[in-house]
Amino acid sequence: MTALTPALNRPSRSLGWWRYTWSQFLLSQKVHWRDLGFALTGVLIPLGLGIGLPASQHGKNSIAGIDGGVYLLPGMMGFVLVWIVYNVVNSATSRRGKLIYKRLRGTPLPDTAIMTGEAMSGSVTSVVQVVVLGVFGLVYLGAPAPANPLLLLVGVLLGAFTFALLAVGVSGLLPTSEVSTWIVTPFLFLMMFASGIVFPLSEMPHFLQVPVQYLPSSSVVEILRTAYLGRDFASNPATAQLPHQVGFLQSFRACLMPLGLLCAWIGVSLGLGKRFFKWDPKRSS
Amino acid sequence: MGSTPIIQVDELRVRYGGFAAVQGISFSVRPGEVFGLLGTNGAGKTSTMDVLEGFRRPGGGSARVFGVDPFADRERIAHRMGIMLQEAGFFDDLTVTETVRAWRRFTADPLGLDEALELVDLGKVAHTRVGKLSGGERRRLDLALAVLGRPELLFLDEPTTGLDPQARRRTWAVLENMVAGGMAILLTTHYMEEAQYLADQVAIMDRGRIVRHGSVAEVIGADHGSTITFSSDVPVPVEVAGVAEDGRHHELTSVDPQADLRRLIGWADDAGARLRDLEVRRNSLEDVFLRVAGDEDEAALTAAGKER
Repeated sequence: MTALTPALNRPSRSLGWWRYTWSQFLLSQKVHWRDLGFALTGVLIPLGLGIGLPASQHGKNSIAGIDGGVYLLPGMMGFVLVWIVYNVVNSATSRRGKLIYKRLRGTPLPDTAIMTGEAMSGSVTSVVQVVVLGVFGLVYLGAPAPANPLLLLVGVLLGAFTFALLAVGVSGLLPTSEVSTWIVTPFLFLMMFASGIVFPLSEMPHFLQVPVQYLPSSSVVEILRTAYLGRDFASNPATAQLPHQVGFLQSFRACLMPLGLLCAWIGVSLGLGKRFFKWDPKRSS
Repeated sequence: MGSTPIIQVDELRVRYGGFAAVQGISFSVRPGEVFGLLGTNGAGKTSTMDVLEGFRRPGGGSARVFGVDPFADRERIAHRMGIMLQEAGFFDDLTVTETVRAWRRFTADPLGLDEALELVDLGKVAHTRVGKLSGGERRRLDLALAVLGRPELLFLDEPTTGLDPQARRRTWAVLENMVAGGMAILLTTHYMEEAQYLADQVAIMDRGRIVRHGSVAEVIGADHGSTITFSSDVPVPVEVAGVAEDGRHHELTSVDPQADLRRLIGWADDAGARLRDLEVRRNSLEDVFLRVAGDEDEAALTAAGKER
């Protein structure tokens, strides 16, 4: 029998928030890749569509005065980020149902470290896919390098953060992981087709063109397209004209509205999470 | 034992809406002490644990763990506590080793992997997926994860439920060893034998209140120390041995078994009666618990009857 003595004679210490978060991230990733079917679905479907659609339009059609493939590329970067909602909702609802969050809360990990680690794990595949799409664009589509890499980075990270937080926020309203997939899927399709990802908002029915601009996915796509193509796709997203070119600072200024909208969505998600998120299905908080 | 309590609870109250789950309880736990919180289902044990583990804000009174508010300052003290919940899930697709490795990353100075597995005798299933473990093995893995960080305070909620008697004894030995090293334990259990074996102090809760509190010896002693049982073919007068439910088998609780036995045997000699299966035994915690629970049930029924 092993002699076990507690750390009374030496000060036990907390590891710090980042160490806890990283530990949770590693655990979440390990579990994510253990379910290979779900993990590969999350890799192959978004990446297949993200590469397939621009490739099919490249050199054939022009959208808003730009090569179809190149126009779609930043939109598809937004689409792969939307997939984060799937990953995070799935893990949040299934771990809650299996009482795993309850167990994790019994560890020294702060609640915020558990959720951030989970969100990072649910986002990392999508962020890597954005990079893969960027390389694909440069190599296969002959797309230019991103006009404003910093704004692109801000758009990707803020978008990932928003979608992950939104997923955590709504997970408390969803019953089980199995049912949640069926509930979330229509909203993901809505975001895919109504956010300017695969076709411009100007091609949508007129009465929908303004409301859909408030979707978080629309804001992400506007920022990414403006940052990547160096043209103002954010000030008037519903225009059918080729937007005018914008410089480094101008592109940030043009994107103030979608950046603000994403911050608002973050606020909404925090509110939803605070009100509805459950660590334990048997308890109200 | 140190003099400063690790846990200090004063007039603690917990409410769920209109239901008062805990109604003003007080106790303390010192380093190296095992405190058994006993009670029937719904007595308020888990609600009390929830507050002390920092998952729930008290509805009234105060609870201090390591001298701080466990709810407000949970992050400051969480690394000093180990928690074994009554019911919590595992990642079923991970092996035992992978699970322990992941949990080791959550603590600054964890037990070694082999050390942890040996501690709970899970070495043979180290590479088995957690989903394939038996209930008892999962419970032992539970314990291993709770003590990985060598906590100063361990919360155990029904730690040996589902374990066979051998594994239960082994778990007790592990816990005894840890307590000898200075660890304090707050234990809830339905096994009175377990509480009697492990606990220095016990509190029996009923409907949100502590109805007995003290060392195991004090609690047993306060509730009449012994039980005398026998059967007799000759009717025994009520003043000698009370009333036998079936007219033959008698059970007396006795504060002074020597005097009671003298009276009983004197009557038997005079009456020419033969006392069969005569037995005197010291009461156990289970006897006290059953009596307390029974008394309280009776009191509740009487009160309910009066209200009608």
